Amino acid sequence: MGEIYILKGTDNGDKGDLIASIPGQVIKVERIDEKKQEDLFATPEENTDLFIYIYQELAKLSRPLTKGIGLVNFIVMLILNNVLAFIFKINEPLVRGWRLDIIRRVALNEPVQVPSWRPDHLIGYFFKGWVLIVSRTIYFLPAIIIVYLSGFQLFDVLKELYFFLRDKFLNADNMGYAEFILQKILPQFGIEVLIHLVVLLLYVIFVWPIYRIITIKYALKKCSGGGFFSVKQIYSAIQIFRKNAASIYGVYAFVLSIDVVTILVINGLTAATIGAFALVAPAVSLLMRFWIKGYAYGILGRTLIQNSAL
Amino acid sequence: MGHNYKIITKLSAEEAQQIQQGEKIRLGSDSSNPEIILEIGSIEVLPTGVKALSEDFKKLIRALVILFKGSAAKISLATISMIYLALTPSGISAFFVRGWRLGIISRMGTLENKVGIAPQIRSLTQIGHHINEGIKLVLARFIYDIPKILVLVVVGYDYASIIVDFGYFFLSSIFNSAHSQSLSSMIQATSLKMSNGIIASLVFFALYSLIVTPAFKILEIKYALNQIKYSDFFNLKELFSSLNLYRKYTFNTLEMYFWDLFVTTLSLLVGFFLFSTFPLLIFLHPLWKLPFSHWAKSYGYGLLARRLIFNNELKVGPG
Repeated sequence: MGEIYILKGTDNGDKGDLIASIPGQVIKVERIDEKKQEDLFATPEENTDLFIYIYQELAKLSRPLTKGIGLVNFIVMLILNNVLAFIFKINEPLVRGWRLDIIRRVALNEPVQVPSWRPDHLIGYFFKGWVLIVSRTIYFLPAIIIVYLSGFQLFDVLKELYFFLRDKFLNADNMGYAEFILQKILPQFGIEVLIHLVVLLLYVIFVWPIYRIITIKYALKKCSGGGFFSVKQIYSAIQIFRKNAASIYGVYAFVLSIDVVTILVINGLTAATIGAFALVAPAVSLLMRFWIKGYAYGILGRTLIQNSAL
Repeated sequence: MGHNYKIITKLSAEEAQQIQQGEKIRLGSDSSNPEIILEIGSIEVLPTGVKALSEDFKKLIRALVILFKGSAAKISLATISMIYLALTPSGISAFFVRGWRLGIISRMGTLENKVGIAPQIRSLTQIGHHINEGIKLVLARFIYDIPKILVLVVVGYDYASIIVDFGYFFLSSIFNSAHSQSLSSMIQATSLKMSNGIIASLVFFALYSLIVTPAFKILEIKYALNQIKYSDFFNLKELFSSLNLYRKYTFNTLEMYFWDLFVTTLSLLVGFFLFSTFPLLIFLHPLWKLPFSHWAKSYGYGLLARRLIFNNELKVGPG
């Protein structure tokens, strides 16, 4: 039997044969050369100013829009998009095709990164936009069906939550949080909802990036519209995804965050202004959801080209 | 010459008494150390039991203090919090932070003391890297938790009803002076809801959480320190090896696991408090969670990692 002891000592270079050996059973010998300092969360040397970096990246992002042909192209598109948004939403395929061209121009670092508004180009965007809309719908059909199926449940839950919070806000006589959760929310949740959530999550994490990689290839004319459904292209996209997951998820996180916040803000402002904001919402969308996202995917395309993935 | 040494050795009481401060002893040579003669500076027993617990607890509290010590730490914390907050609306923050936490354990186990422990974020690709690792970990954890989830879904409604009752009772007694019911009547009402099925599933839940989850945490540590590949999470041999390691270091593992549960519960309460004060405040919850839940937990597991390395259970070289 014995206890474990910690011995600390210094080697002063002494020599001698008459000195006794250390008794007991040595478990570990560790040389401590310097005084061990406390753990640090971060050191000044490592701390690069992320805020400056973000500012610089945002500046790069907006530069093509602010001068010369780019500015003209963008303003024309802003007007066109806003007008067409109220004509059977024809702007949808148009701006998606427009965004596809942004991806190409940014990926190849062309001098003018805002796509032109020449009528023949516009027709091209229109058709390519349709290809994107159709392919995206087919890709996400399982997810759309699930959202549709559980959507009613979720909608009910959200509706209940809205009324509950509104009543709370107005201090109307109402039930407490616990009863609310028990009576209104929990009964909606069964194993089907769990399966739905899992499938949706898998879609978001895996299917969407694959879809976007093929989109980039389509933008760079490395595959045709049919490439979205070609086994060879999907397989190739999976390989690219596996090797460049960090870059892809990085851009994806950025794009997803912008998307969610923009949608929330647009819907919030539209509700708050009782619909008035909807008149300028297409313009905001064009900037945030189409220009910025197109640019981001373009940068991803550039990165993938540099990594010889494309 | 002039080097300091730290020796961990097992001594009987008599042997320990023979060693005095200022004395010289010979340390025999082995593969990594030549023979040297040491002048003893200090001798003390390795803290165990309650003393070890309080030592570790002090380290965990110190870890919370260093977050705010010095401008480098504060800037870094602000930066990472901002990123975490920005990723929250889309939900992808959950993966990001898990990957970031893995980075903390990895750095605590491998890097020397000259750099900060928290992984610094300089580019989108680094964010993407953490998300990628986070997705892998969440997936593995989900698969490990499937038995628990199935039980919860089957018996869930009744569980939740009991938990919400208790939670609501305690929170209303903190925030309102008038109780709607006394504790005894509450327990009586609850016991009516407890069927044999619920009790059995509660026992299963508790056992599973105490046996499998800590072993999973050890697997995570091994993965963070590059001892195993990702596929080893699903390798029975690795799982049993981690279970053995857990058995050998039950005290230390459970120490950090209970710290984990404690900070998680505290964080949930904070969230509940924010939500009940004003629902929109819940969007600020990440600002609490990052330092006081995620950082706190991973520092704890990082300490466990260091202990395992120190005891030569994991072979790690300098970072």
